[in-house]
Amino acid sequence: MLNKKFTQTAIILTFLLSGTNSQTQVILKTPLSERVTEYNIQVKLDTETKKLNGEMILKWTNPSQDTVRDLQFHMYLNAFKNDKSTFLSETRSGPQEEDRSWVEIESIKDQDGTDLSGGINYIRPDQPITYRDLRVPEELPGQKDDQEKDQTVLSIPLDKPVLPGETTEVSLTFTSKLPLLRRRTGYAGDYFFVAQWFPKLAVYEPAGMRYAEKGGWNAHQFHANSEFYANHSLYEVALTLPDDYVVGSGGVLQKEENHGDGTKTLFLRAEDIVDFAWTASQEYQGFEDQWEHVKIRFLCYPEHAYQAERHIDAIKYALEYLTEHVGPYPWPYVTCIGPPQKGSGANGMEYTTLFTAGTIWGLPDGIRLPEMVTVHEFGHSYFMGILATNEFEEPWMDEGMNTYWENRIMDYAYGNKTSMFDLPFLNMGDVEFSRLTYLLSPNPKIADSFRPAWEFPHGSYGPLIYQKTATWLNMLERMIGQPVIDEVFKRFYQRWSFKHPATQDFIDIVNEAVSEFHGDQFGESMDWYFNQFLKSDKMMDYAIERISVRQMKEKGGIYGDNDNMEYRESEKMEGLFRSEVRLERLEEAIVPVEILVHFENGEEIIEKWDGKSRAYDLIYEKPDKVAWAMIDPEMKMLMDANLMNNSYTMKPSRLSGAKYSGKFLFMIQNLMQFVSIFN
Amino acid sequence: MKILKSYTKGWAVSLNSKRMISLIYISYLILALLLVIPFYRLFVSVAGNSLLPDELISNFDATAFGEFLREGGKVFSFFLKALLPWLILFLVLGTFFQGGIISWISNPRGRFSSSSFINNCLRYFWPFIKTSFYTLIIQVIFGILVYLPLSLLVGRENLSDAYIGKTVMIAVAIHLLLLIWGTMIAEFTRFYIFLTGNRKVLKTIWKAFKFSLRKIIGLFGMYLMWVIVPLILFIALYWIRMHWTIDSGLMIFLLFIIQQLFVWLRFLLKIQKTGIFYRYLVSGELKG
Repeated sequence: MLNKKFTQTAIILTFLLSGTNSQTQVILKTPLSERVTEYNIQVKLDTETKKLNGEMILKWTNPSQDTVRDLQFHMYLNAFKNDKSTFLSETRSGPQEEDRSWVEIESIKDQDGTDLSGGINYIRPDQPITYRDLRVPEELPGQKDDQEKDQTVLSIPLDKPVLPGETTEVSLTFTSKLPLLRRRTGYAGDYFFVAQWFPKLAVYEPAGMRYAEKGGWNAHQFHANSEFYANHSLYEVALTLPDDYVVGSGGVLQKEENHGDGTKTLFLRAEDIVDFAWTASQEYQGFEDQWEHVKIRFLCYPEHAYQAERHIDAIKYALEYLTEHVGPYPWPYVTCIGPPQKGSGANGMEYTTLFTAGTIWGLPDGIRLPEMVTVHEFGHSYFMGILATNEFEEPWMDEGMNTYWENRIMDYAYGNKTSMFDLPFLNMGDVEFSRLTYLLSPNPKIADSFRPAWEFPHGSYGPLIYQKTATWLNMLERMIGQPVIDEVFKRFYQRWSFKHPATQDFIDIVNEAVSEFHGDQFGESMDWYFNQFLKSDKMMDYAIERISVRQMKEKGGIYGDNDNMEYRESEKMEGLFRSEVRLERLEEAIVPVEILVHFENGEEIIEKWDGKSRAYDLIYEKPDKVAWAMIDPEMKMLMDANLMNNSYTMKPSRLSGAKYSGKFLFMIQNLMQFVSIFN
Repeated sequence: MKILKSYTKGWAVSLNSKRMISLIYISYLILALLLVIPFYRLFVSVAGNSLLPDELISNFDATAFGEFLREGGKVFSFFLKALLPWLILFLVLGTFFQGGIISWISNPRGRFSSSSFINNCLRYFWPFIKTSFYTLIIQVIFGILVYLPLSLLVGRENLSDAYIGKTVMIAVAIHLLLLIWGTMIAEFTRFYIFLTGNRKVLKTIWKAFKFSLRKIIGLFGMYLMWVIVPLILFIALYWIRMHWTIDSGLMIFLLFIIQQLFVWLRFLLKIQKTGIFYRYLVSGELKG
């Protein structure tokens, strides 16, 4: 049930009233993260020029033992400033003039009032780009200075270095010009979705953190296939805009001031989130609901209002499932945005506590795209939000893991054969959808999945990061059991929430849990599994090449020697048959497999094969013939690229052929009657 | 009253045309089987000795279907591509039969003779194929008349998807009406050619156009009456598909029989429609 009235806000009000003062009321009783960064931003939206004018005070605490001499910022909006940006070089699709966007720091001072702007320097940490070296050389002809290079990462040398554990503060003014909605940020008419809009501090990784051998900033240019990496931060944002705009944001509204000149200022606060985005429109319609301690808010355009319940139900399913199987959702609120058609460029993106879904007017209930996107984007509250992995460098950890959980939640909520499509003649579950999307991609072995986001060639980022990862995690779940994989993710959550885990941190937990629950059943560790499916491009395909059955015969020939030679006939051994099941490994990946062998008398035997050799035969000499055999009878091996060759029967049924040929015939007959409208 | 009379006469004609309908049905079936038999062989060959295709028997299974696509997708798509020339062939065949159909429904008494049916088909083939060609052009013009303004309407910036969706739905409904009108014009053109012997097709189309425009309300009323039975048939078939579990050879065979009966009945209803419109024309326009 949706509740449009704002009556279920008791929890939020409790938080607000328990605040320290009327201006800054805390949301969470105790900080969830170290909050090494704190942003205090005052920003004004000019709806005519599509510009943001902001003042920002940034506090940063040096988490390392290093003396840090510069600050590095992400200037994401500069990705669309000119065609020489890394982003546009990679996409090869330069925007129109109105699509251009930029962000510029106009002044910057340290806490002593020293002007730092003289040292501003754009850097490109990711050059050269490996697999595209030839197309994006280090220096393009005609490049004269930094102004013509990518400007999405900025280094600002400090006048006074930041000592270990010390907190520094800089204040700056900036202007951001928003693009025509692109990559989930910008405007479309009077609709605004504002993300990656302010100079955002990169993550300083001390030595030993993730892959850092020595302390340093971990910043990357904004790439076409990349998302983000940031600290869990505290945000205080004062947003001024026309007073008839409805706003959704990743923060909690603390106070609203109407200036009487047609503008208002909203004071927003967010705690322990990795990004702060907001949206504004005059046409938003709001819906509210409650799930345990979480106030759910859904903002959409009037034409999508009738689908609000679909989104809210999906959020509740996700909250319930992730809380039970991973860990609690810590914030007392979440806002879901349903962008309008004109703002569909903002569809499907996550900012923690705020995310965008997406829908189309008239979409049938049986096409569960809105639910899938909602569940997916909410899931990022965990995989990226709470477990703040580096999306630039290890995208499998956010998009891949999150797609795995999306698969589980969708199948749990809407049925494992109907969670994506539930139409009269078409049904498909989300796990099936992921597997097929990966396997039907143009080249599923074009790359491994363990590489930075921008190094996936030929459009393989989506299938290899989202769907392949989800599929091998689904297979892992089926191999080690759902209770064990749940335990893995619970431990991952407990140990790494509000930190920045890396791949090995997850693998270590898998190894630990599998060893604890299964001993050495899967070997010394599960590294072999990750090495094949995450860190290599290997594919998996086991096949039953054939089954042959023949009557057994006495082995004939000449026996004995010299005078004792005897010729024996190969005589049939009545009632005894030799059945041979020929198994083959057709691809590179090696996984232990089970084979179910079914005999004509109904007897069934489960055989185990370590799957290592290229060929393996099962031979039975018995009174009963093998009727059929099946590799992986419980359908655990979702990475198997060809399920058609996983089984072999001596008496194939032609019924499916008859059924689909009948369908094809009926289709042709109806089509030929349809063309009669032209005669 | 004239509409009701035409409607009942149309039924009487179609019920008296079972042999002709069967002849047409079998001709189309043979052509369709030329595509379907290789399709079946390919399906069986892709399935091989696998047990997976059994998953497709009782219900659609996305995983099993996906495996088929991976294994035989390119070859299956060949059959879909082959449909276009096949449909053109059906269009020509449908036009060919029109001469025989109109000759029969103009005088459906006595025993149906295949040879005279074919002779009549041949006699009117040329003017009727020209009619089909011009009908195609008329339908294209109708399409342009609907979709050009539609593209201008929905191609503007910052529209809501509800506005786009509703506008497209209205456009499709208008196009459907124009499509039906186009088939009526073609039908009356053939009747005029048959009844007057005038083989100037364009002139006759213009005559049919004027007639159908003059009687447009009555004609659409009659069409609405006619469409009730096909709709009921379609709903019945849909109900069967939704409620029957097709998981055995017997059920597949039963469904096949029902589908073929449905196709046969569609031919009957088409003859009935032709009969209705023919009676309407001869009882009104030509009576005076």
